[in-house]
Amino acid sequence: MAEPHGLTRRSLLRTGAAAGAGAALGAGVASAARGSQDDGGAPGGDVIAFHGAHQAGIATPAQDRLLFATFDLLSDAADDLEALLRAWTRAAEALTTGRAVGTVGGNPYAPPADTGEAQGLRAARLTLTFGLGPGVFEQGGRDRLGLRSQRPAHLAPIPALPGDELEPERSGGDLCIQACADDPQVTFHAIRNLTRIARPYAQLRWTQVGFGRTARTSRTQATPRNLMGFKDGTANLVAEDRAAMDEHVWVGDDSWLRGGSYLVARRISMTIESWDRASLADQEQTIGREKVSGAPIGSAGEFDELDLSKKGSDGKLLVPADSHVALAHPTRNGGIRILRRGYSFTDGLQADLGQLDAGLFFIAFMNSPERFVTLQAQLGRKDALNEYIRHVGSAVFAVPPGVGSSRGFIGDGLFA
Amino acid sequence: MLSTFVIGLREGLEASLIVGIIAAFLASQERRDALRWVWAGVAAAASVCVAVGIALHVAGEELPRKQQEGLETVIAVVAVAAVTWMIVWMKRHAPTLSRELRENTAAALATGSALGLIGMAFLAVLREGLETAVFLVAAFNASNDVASSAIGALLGLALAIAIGYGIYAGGVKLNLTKFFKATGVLLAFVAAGLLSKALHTAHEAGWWNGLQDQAVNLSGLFPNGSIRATLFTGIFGIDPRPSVGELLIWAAYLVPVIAFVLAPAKARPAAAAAASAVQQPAISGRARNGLIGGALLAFLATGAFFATASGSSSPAGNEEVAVKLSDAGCEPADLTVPAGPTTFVVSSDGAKEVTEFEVLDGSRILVEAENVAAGLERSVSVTLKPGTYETTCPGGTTAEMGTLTVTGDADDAGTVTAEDEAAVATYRTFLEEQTAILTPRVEAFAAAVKAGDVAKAKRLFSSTRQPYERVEPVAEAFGDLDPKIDIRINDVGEGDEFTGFHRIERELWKENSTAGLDAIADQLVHDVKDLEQRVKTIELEPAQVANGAVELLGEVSKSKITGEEDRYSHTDLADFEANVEGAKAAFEAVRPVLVKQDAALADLIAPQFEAVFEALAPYKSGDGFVSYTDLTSADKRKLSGALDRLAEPLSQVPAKVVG
Repeated sequence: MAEPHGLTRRSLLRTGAAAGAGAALGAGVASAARGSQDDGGAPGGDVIAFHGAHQAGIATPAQDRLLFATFDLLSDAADDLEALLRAWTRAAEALTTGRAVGTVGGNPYAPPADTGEAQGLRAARLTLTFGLGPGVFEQGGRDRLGLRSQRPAHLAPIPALPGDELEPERSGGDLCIQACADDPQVTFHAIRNLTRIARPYAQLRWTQVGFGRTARTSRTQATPRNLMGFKDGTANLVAEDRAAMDEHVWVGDDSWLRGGSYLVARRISMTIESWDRASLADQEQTIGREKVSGAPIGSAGEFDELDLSKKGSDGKLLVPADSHVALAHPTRNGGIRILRRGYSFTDGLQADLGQLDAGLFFIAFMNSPERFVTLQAQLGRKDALNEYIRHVGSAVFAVPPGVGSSRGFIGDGLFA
Repeated sequence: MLSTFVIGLREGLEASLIVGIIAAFLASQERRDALRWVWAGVAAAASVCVAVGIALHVAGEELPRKQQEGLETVIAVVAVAAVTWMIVWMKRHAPTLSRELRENTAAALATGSALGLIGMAFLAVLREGLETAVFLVAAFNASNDVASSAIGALLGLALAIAIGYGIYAGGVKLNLTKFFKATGVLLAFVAAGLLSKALHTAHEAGWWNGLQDQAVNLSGLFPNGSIRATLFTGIFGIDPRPSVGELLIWAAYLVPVIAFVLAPAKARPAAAAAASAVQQPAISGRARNGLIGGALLAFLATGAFFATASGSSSPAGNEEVAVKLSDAGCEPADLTVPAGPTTFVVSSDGAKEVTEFEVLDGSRILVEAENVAAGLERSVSVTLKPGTYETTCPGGTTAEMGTLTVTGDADDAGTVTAEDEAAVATYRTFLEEQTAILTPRVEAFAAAVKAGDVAKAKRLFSSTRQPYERVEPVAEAFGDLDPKIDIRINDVGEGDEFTGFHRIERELWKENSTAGLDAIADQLVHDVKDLEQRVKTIELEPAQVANGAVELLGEVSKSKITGEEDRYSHTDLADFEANVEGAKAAFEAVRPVLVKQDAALADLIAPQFEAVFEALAPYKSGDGFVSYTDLTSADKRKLSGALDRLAEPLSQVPAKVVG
């Protein structure tokens, strides 16, 4: 990997995001008018405020589309990381209000500062959520950027878990950006331009498109179905439940991460063809819910309380103990809950097998990744669903708190 | 039509009056024999006038459009000056015209000089005729319909001759004072219109840019192209949608001149007669000098346009030109732009066969927009120097070819500094070195091919190509050369021959043979020699050099890092290296120019070149590189990432060095 030579923060800002800074003022005004995004309530219009105590895109009611991108840092200078996060912040302020990161027209001899494909499109509820991977704080036992002392308490690579079949090229990353919006072109435009701005300090490691949300993160939202045809996220945390959010999602310690969270991403590949040949009963027993209604097996309504001890006339548990909902239930996991915010994906065919490459891109926010590790350790060993799914990608990031004003930037607490 | 009719009538009548009076006088003196001399003078003068008119018109036609506008401006101003002078002169002399003439004629007769009579008739007709010629050319220029303008002029002349004959024959009595007053008013409108038109053409010629806001818009009352609009413009001499400047100058001329024409004659007849008897020859002489001087001026101006393509500098801002692709071809086919940075915004009306727009300087492609499909809009930019270029939209039916006229000062293309010149000179040296290295390498390679030495030819292949790959964008600028030398099989059109390096590559690696390649090898040698010659005269600017660097990295991203370029030999990494070396040479050439504009950018880019070479280093093998097929995905990704980090800041350079 080539080392950048003599790069300065100023030059990055100049080449990458100077224009974004110009838009920042406007963005600040817009967010002030709309109030902060603390409670995650659905704002009016299609602009989700970028500024707030928490980053948007977590408690925000899940948008329809996702583009998730991870980056490898190319520079070992903390100054460069700071410059990059500043530039990204200014650009994000513009992008999330539906503005370009620079002019699209302008000098005919220079490449346009903004790539232009979002011209004429609305903000489409775009949120950009930034995360820092374990590699920012330590890489191969090395205090790479001199930030090891600032490492968030729970940030460490996800350990190997039962049933993992991880592919390195779909896993890890020093930085991540979760771009969610109701228009896929808007998310693409955002990531594309942020990637451009990141050069030459960071390069893309892997990306994942999510074409449809599989999670309900607000009481205002109906429960969507995942690619197995089942309602997903019925029992998810909802943003309106502020006590639960504080207990399970937001980091509450006194570190620089306070008000932030942790993001765990897993690319879960489905063996769609086998699933489609499973009988309805098998499918329902695997999940633990009825396919059409979404109700726990033996119950009437989707939101009926899941009773894991209820037995049928044959004396067997109605919701099998190895079903997905049973194993994932908080009562089986010491009361652990996480905020799931995943998306369905398809990346065409698996070239070697000629089968659909599709599944769930699992994203979850929690105040410690250990919560996910606990859950998945259990699921990976026992889940009946494992017959139909494989975890092929994995990453974890600390998600800094929100940016309060247009003077701050994502992760500024780290450099204070 | 009306304006040319008035001109023809008025000017024709003046000439025919003079000739008629002379003829009548001769008749009264029983000297009809001398009439043939008069007619000879008239004929000679008429021929001169027609010739001048045609010359002015042709000169105007042959000029590039913007200079045409300039010439039209000059002609119109001369015409306005002439007609103004005539209005003033006629007002003063109409009452005494015929007496003065008779006296002059008598004087000529008295000295017995036929030459004097010829001279009088000649000069009378010449003076009016030249005015008419200049005036008509100006009026033709101002008119959209040359045919009806010509008919108007001819009708006017015919009527004038009829009236002149009538006066001669004694059957027509004309109150010359009233006649000239009436036509004077009409002419004042015509001249005011011409002046306003002159301002308009001066604006189009780039000489005048003030007061261009629209003053009023009467096109509601006088819809564009309607008879009403034609009449309005015909009578009042002004466009229904004049700019502020055009309206001001129109009124500024019209009001005093009409007031002068309509004012009661102040000339005291006796004094005027006495004065004019003395002044007449002097005034005629001045008039003649003035008119001939005016015509000369117009010619000189024409010469000046040709010689220096002059014109005051228009703002050096970017000129945007819209081009639409249709089944016919380019719309519009003919374009005129001022020199300097120009952006062509190319869109399509959905034409299937026509998807490309090119600007050619001879056979060299200056700029092109490709793959413009319906709904797409592509902008391409280039700095244009004054001159005439061809445009082409390949596949078009009627408008496949067009012309692009670039007007203005060479300076509009940006001020050339010593650094600019040094940058271009540095790059030119590199360019000539590389093409000079290329020729003998290709000769050796071709010799191996022709000798059937497959192993040697394979060994030479990648190093032979390297000098070419270092300067490829320049070769691409010669539209026909790059395809001949370096076309890839998937770019070969149906029915076109697959020639050049990659044709030979295919036979060498796929067939392990040189069979049938003799002619291809000879052609390749010929083409690279051609390239070597052509680069010696290519004109370059720092921005083009910098753009070449950007294009070279684009080449790497598009076809080298993907392994498409050398799909048979897999020597893509050698091309990769050569492209980056070429980009570096171009960057280093413009670096002094860049440093003056943005030293930080230069400092950012330089180490990234080294980073790319470092990234390539592990794959060196012997004289060349490992086969592209030996690279893993991770290897390619590293190379690609290093390239992106160089290419991104490098793409900012052309705008910085454009000047």
